[in-house]
Amino acid sequence: MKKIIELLKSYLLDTLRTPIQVVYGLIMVLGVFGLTGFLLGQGTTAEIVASYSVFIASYAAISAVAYSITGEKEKGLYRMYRSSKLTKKEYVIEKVLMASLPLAFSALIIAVGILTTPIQLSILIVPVLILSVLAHSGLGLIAAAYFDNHSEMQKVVTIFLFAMIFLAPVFYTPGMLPETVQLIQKAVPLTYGVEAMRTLMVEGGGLAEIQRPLVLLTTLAVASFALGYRKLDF
Amino acid sequence: MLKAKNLKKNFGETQAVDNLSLEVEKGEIVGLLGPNGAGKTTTMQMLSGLMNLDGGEISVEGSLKEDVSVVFQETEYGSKLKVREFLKMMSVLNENEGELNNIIRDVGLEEFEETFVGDLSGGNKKKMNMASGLLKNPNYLLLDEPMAGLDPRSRKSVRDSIQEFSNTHGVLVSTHSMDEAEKLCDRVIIVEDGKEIVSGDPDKLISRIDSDFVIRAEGNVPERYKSEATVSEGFFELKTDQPHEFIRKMVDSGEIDKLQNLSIEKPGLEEVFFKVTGRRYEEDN
Repeated sequence: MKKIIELLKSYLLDTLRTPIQVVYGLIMVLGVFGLTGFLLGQGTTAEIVASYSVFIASYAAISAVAYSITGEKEKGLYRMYRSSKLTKKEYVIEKVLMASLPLAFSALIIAVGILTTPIQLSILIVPVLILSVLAHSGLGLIAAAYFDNHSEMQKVVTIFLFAMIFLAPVFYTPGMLPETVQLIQKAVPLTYGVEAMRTLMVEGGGLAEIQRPLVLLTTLAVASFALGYRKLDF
Repeated sequence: MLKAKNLKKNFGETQAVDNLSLEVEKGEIVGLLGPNGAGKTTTMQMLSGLMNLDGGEISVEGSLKEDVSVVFQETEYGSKLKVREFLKMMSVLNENEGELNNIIRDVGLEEFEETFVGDLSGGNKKKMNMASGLLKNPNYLLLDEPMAGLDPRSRKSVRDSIQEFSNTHGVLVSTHSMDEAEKLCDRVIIVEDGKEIVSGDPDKLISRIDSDFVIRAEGNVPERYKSEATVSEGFFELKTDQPHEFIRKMVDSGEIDKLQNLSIEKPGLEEVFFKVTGRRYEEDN
């Protein structure tokens, strides 16, 4: 655990000493939030709060894991970590914890939602967000496992993230989309994160109502994580 | 002893390492020498357990993960961490915080502890990389091109650090510089296309090839050496096993005053490479 904390500490120190990264992260969150909330003329609705809080956490999880690992590969740090007494398990746990830090952005969005629109709060929001982070960290691990080069990985992950925004029902409810697109949506973990969050925050549903998306999200989290962990050569 | 036997590694059709065997004992510095693309870095990766073997075997007293540490040349951080912060992190990862201060002192980075890693000079970055490798407290340290890109003063400083470490540990240094290998290594293994072409003590290898000293100078060839000298672009070149005789004769006859840019090169590993392969080893490899 000490090694994981030390790695996280170094990561935070490095990030906070580069304020532009923090500012960029905040602008991204607020920009995306504002885009749908205001440019689409919907205002800050409970649906948007529910969708965006899980979307931001998922998006950040893939990016954080994939970018961080390929960046370390490119700099040679990855080999240095591999050559140290750090184990693969410790390394991956650190990456997942790092990928969980943007949950603070989700909390920020929910806080804005509480102040501006009637939303239902539930303790079940926490496991849904955590499962979403795990599922998407797994996808980040898969991307990092296949690429040694930051720029090559970036091309693929950017396309994937862009597609994910539109494939997952972040902007709209799934029923509004053609049936073929709805089929593809079923393979995207974010779909179930959004579905569960909307059920909890908009409809005030409970565990029984989110059972299906929760099971599917868990399945995808286990599958993506297992594949990513296995493929990552540490 | 770190021992590798018949190592093989293929990348598609390319055989990067081909039946390479080597041994490193504690207390010695072994040089893995060869041009770029000879398979040195691949060998280092296999020896440190970072790359799977396609053939052969590696053995060490304990385990590669615990006893072998590798430092690669291209490790480069644009990090906003300070030297001490970075090395502290590496000491925690290697479960060796107690040695942190000693290692910072041993590699000569004490006065740079508060410098940001990204602001270090090339030589100090190499030292920091070496410190990271040492923090594992390995029995064997593998250094990939530790002198590459360094100025002469930094090279000397890094060389001293390696020699100091080799008193109690085994060191394998990969380098494309024959000159550096001669200065640093107790034994060398010259590789090309992933294969060993010759190995042994550098001095013995050099003495075995029976090569002459090369005298170069700018000016007219002294009369008595005209038959044996080669001339090119105002310079002449002579090969002899008694360079002191040449100098004595030039001084006695006063001809030394007519010669410019006089140099004497002793035969080195480059000549060994030439004798074995029949090709010149280009320093800019």
